[in-house]
Amino acid sequence: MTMCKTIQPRLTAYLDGELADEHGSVVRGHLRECAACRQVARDEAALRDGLRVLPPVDPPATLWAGVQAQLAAAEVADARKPRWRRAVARWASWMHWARWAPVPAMPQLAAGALVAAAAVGMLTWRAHRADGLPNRSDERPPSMAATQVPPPGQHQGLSSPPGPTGHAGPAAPADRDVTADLLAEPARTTASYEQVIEELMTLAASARDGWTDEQKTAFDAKVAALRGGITRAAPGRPQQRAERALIRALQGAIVRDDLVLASGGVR
Amino acid sequence: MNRPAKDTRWRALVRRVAMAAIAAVAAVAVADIGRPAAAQPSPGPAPAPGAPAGSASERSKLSIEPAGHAITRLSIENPLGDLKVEGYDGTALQIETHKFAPDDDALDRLHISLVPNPDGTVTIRTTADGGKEVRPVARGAVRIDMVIHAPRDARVEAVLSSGALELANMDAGGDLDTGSGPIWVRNVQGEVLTHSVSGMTRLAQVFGSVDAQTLSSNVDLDTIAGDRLVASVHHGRIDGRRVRARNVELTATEGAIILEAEAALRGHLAVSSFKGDVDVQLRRHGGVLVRARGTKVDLGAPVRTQPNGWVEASMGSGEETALVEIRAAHGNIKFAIIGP
Repeated sequence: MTMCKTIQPRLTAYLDGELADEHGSVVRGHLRECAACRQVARDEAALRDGLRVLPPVDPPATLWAGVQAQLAAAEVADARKPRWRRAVARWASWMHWARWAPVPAMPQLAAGALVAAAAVGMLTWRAHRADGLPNRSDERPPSMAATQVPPPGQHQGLSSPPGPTGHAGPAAPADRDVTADLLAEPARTTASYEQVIEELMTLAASARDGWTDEQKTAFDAKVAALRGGITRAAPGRPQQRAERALIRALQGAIVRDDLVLASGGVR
Repeated sequence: MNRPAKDTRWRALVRRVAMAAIAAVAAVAVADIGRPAAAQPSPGPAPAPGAPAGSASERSKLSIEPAGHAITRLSIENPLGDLKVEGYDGTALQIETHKFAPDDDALDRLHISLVPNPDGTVTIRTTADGGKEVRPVARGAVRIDMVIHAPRDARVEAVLSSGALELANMDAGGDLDTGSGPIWVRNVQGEVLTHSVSGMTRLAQVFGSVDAQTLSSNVDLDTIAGDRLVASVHHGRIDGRRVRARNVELTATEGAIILEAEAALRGHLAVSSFKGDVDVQLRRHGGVLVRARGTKVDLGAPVRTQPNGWVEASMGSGEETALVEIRAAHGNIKFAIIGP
């Protein structure tokens, strides 16, 4: 019975093939002679097979919002707790992470399990203080004492390579809250891309005089198709990806004469 | 009759002692968390030079050992600061973060979320809480820097804003995106894609296909070996050294291009700038056909001028001739064969 208590928690890992040879051998040996554990293992395997044939489930779009809302509520509750209880909670959270590896994982085959794992595994971790409690320094490290916030585009961190950096779109108001500024960032980046597209279209208008009608038609069709892709793309990164594709195509037409080659001409 | 009452008091005492012991253990554990273990590859991140001038900061460390599936992909979004991802010979993900803010309240608004997925992907995002009740804090006043030690064979997808993005010692390439922050890739195998609006992009010792695109910054390439190298800038220059790829396509709308490359057999190099000079130095194996069109062309060899304005020169011989096409619509072109 004592052996069963030791073996049964390891069955999932055993079935997942995650146990090292010697541990797997112990579990295998026990299963040979213990009918009860064998039954538990059979049930576990049947459950895994059942999960495996489940159709994939797309998590609803509201899931993430729900998780975030619950996290926010949890954080509000956390903030109201006394300091010592927060410290204990942090410790418990850390222990949860530490356990993540050795605890036998659930079968990760079905999308349902994926959603569950994402929901359970989603953590916002607060600082695990590196230098003991409390670690919030009220004094800046000496090397940072004289450091000023660099303007956008001039930041040089992490042993960054030398060289000039420009700016990403229109500058944000300095007094705007960080959250609002983050929300506005995709629009700023898109504006930068649009500005470059306009510059390239101006160059293309000049280069157009030297193109044949066939080349003009091919260029217009390509630009229209890529602009359609931008319109259809979701705001943010997908849209920026589509804009980058248009920039590449315009550069190809203007700088590399791609249109000439595409229409069978000699470069 | 007194026995039950005595038992209750005894139990209460034992309970108090146990709780005190648990609290003591918890306090010790919390204080110990984050101390670098002996096996960890490096200490915490150095203070970022661009860190905002705040008065509160917080460091954290986390080590994640994968269960079952190895960590194969890292998806990271850090619009609030720098990110360095460095590969090492281990399976765990080691994350070190450093937050900066003007005060504790602002520091509490900075969060890092981590989602491990069963398919081996780990998603990490940094955010700043908002809401009407919070005191506004300028973006430049807060910061989250991250240093991640990851298994070498994990592919990295990272999106930053004005922070510096560094990827080093990885074997599965990456897809890197910044706004105005610089990108630095070194000693990386696999396909590498970089996009930046205005961040200087530097790639060194990349062994795999490369696609680098910026709008208004320079691209620096050093020791690139792969099947394909594509780099384009709108305003900015491209510098390439020790480049060896079968297909090379460097394009600048407004900026110079300097390339020192090795021609692959039957390779194709297209180096083009609309407004900028182009200087190509080539080590060749076998024959090379060079075609160029620019304001002034110097191919360093006898040339044939075609009616359409192209200037051509053939160097060496052999069936597996490499083709080099150089364009500088409003710039000068210089080409030379170097080495034996």
